[in-house]
Formats: sequence, C-alpha cells, structure tokens
Amino acid sequence: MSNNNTDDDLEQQAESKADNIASSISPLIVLTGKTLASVPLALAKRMPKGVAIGQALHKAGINIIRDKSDAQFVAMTIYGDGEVIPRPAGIDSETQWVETDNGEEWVAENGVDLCRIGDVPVAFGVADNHEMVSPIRARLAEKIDSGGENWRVIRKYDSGHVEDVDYGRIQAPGAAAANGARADGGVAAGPAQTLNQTPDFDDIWVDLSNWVEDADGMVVSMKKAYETTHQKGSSEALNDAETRGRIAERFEDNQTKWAIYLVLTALGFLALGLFGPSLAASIGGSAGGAASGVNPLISTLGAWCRPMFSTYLRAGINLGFAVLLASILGFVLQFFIPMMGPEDSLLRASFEALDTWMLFLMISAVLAAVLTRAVVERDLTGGVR
Amino acid sequence: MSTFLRLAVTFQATIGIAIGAFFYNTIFLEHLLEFAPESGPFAAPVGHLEYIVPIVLLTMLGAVWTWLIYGSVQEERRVEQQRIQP
Repeated sequence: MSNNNTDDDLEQQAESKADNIASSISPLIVLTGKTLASVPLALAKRMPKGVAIGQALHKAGINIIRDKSDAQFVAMTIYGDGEVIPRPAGIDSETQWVETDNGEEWVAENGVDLCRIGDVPVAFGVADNHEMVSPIRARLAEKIDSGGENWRVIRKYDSGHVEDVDYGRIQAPGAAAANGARADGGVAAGPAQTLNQTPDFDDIWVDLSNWVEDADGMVVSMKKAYETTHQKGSSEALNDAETRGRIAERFEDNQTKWAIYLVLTALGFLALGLFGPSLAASIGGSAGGAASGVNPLISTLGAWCRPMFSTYLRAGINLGFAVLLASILGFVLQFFIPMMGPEDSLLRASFEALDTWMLFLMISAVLAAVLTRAVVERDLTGGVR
Repeated sequence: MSTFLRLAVTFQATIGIAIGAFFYNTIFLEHLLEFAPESGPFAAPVGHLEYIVPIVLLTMLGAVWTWLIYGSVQEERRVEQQRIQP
C-alpha cells in the first residue's frame, strides 16, 4: 500500500515537473514563433514602396492564375456574402457561356466586358446563372437608378432631330409637355396610362458624370448592374467579339511559345538522330564489320551509342532539371520583373526576354553538350582507328 | 563543373541579379538618388551610376548565360584532352 502511494507520489511529482518544464518552455516557443513570424511581416510593412510591392504581387498572382490554368481571362466571382474570388475562366465556343474552373457559368451571348489587371483581362460576375457585369455597367446602373434626370430615352429621326420618349415613367397630367417630350402616338398623359406604356425608342442616353464635381470617382454596385443588365446592341456585341479575338490571340501566343520549345527540343533530338548514323559511319569501320553477320546499321549505331549512353542519360536528367529550374525561375521572376522599372526600361525588357527564352537557352546548353560529346567521340574513335 | 551544377549556378545567379535589379530600381532609383548631390565632385559619378548599374547587371546576366552554354561545350571537349593525355 505504502509502495503504491510512493509510486503514485513519484508519478505525480514527475508529471508536475514535466508540466512546469513544459509551461516554462512554452512561452519561449511561442515567443520564438512570434519573432520568426514578425520578421517577414515587419520587413513587408517597413519595406519602401510596400503598396507598390503589394500591387505588383497582386498583379503577379492574377497573372499566375491566368497562365497556369491557360485561361482566356480571370473571372472575379462575387458571391452572396460579398467575397470576391478570382477564378480562371473562358468562353465556350459552342454554348457562348462563360465557364470557370469550378463549373460556375454565366450567359455570355452578348459578350463580356473585360477590364485589365496588369496584362491580364478580367471580368466580373455575380455568382448566379446570368450575364456577367462590369464596372461600366455598374456605373450605368447607378446613374439610371439615381433618378430619371440622369438618363433619357430618345427617338431619332432621319432629319437628325432627337425627341425624348417617356418610357415607363409616371407622368403627372401635362408634365410631358413641360419638358417638350411626348409619349408614343399621342396617348393621353396620366398616371394610369403612362405606367403601362412601352413606346418604341431608338436609344438610351445616360449622363455618366459624377454628382459631386470635386469627387475623383464613384462607388458602384455590381449587384445593381447585374439587376439592370440589358441587352446590348449589335455594334457593342461586335466590339466584344473583337475583344475576344484579341484574347484568343494572346492565348495563342502563350501556346506558341511552348510549341516553339517543344519543336526545338524535337529538332534537337532529330538532329542527334540524323547525325548518329553519319557519325557511326565515320567511326565505324570496325563496328560496321558486316562480316559478323549483324545488320551493319544496328551495329554501327550500337558502336556509336555505347560511349554516348552516359551522355544521353546525363542529358535526360539535365533536361528535366532545366525544366524544373525554368519553372521556378519563371515563378520567381514574375514577382521581380514588375518592380524593375517601367516597361520600356532596359533592365525590365531584358529580364522579360530572359523569362521568355530561358528554357530554350537551358535546353540549348544541354543539347550543345550532347552534340559536342558526339563529335568528340567520333574524333577519338577515328583517331584510335 | 558539370552541366547540372552549371544550371544550378545560373539559376542562383539569375535570381541574385534579379534581386539586384529590384533593389536598384525600388531603393536606389526611387529613394536614394534624390539625395544625391546635384553639384560637386560626386555629382557626376552618382549620375553615371544610374546608367552603369543596369549595364553591369545585364553584363553579368549575359555572361552567366553564355558561360552556361559555352561551359557545357568546353566540358565535353575536355574529355578529348583527358583521353589523349591520360
């Protein structure tokens, strides 16, 4: 019994000591963690041009979203709780719908109004199965919603004369005559009648100027824009088609770059394949000994390939390493290039060129080594022979 | 040095030069240059720095990438010398 008590006491003492040690160490661990975390945060906060760096990182992030997903543009998806999430998106050529990577869709029969973050086209869409919205449409919606004095429904005549049309407005008797506008066809003015009027009209003019002259901008509501989305005219739809064409062109450019890499790589190996037989032929009197009964082509190739095998192996590893390094370098440079000065500066332009061609240069280095080794092996074997 | 190591060195050097370009633009050009004297014995050297630094950085960048390709060729040619003169 006493032994049990002693054991329990010892166990309790051990636990107590362990707790004390842990409790004394834990603040140190927390402090260390906080210190380590605060260093990059403090650097980021105190770094000069922190806002510019943040903007550059934001641009780079959007660029990564577009590039890594091969999207036509980035859809800033607005959800019901107000959160906005950028998602890679594109227009389905058959359905003419905008689709994001997670399956959200919008009708885009009338095109998509694109804005731009850096070089990346972006569009805005409320998370709903309807047309997308844009800041311009949002501004239109705000002005239309702000009162009838900010927009006019008009009818144009061949003579150039423009006439206001009362479209869906409640008019007091005689009010139409006050501003010189009349409803369609001389229908008698009056609240009951004018409410249901849907007269023909040619255009809607909206005054987009700000209410407050000293203000620099105007806060707009995308939701309101979504609610007042209207069908666009054919000319605007054509402009959107042109914009989509430009996007597709940019998309193709990106693909072209990678296609060039692949073609050059294939050409490199093709060149090796073409050089191989000729090199083997120059090496290969001994290896090509047809007297052995072995196919001379296979034997000469075999003789040439044996010393080159390790070179091919190293080249394969180096090519994989080059692709990995080029990917990492491209990722890193995306953050630095926007902060290297204006676009036309020598530094920035050079790094942008390097960003485009670095994988090609790396592949060139590897292939140049392989070709040089092939020539060396030919010379050596020829010399021995 | 093998092509593998040469690729790694080129990678590191490129990032280093990119960081140098970043500091040159965001710190030197945008913040420090405005404190440089516009007259006196140091005015001209500081003015030249604005042009020399990018040229130096790009020269280093070009040298590193040239060394990557040329070094790979040289390394393979060295095999020939080693075999002829064992």
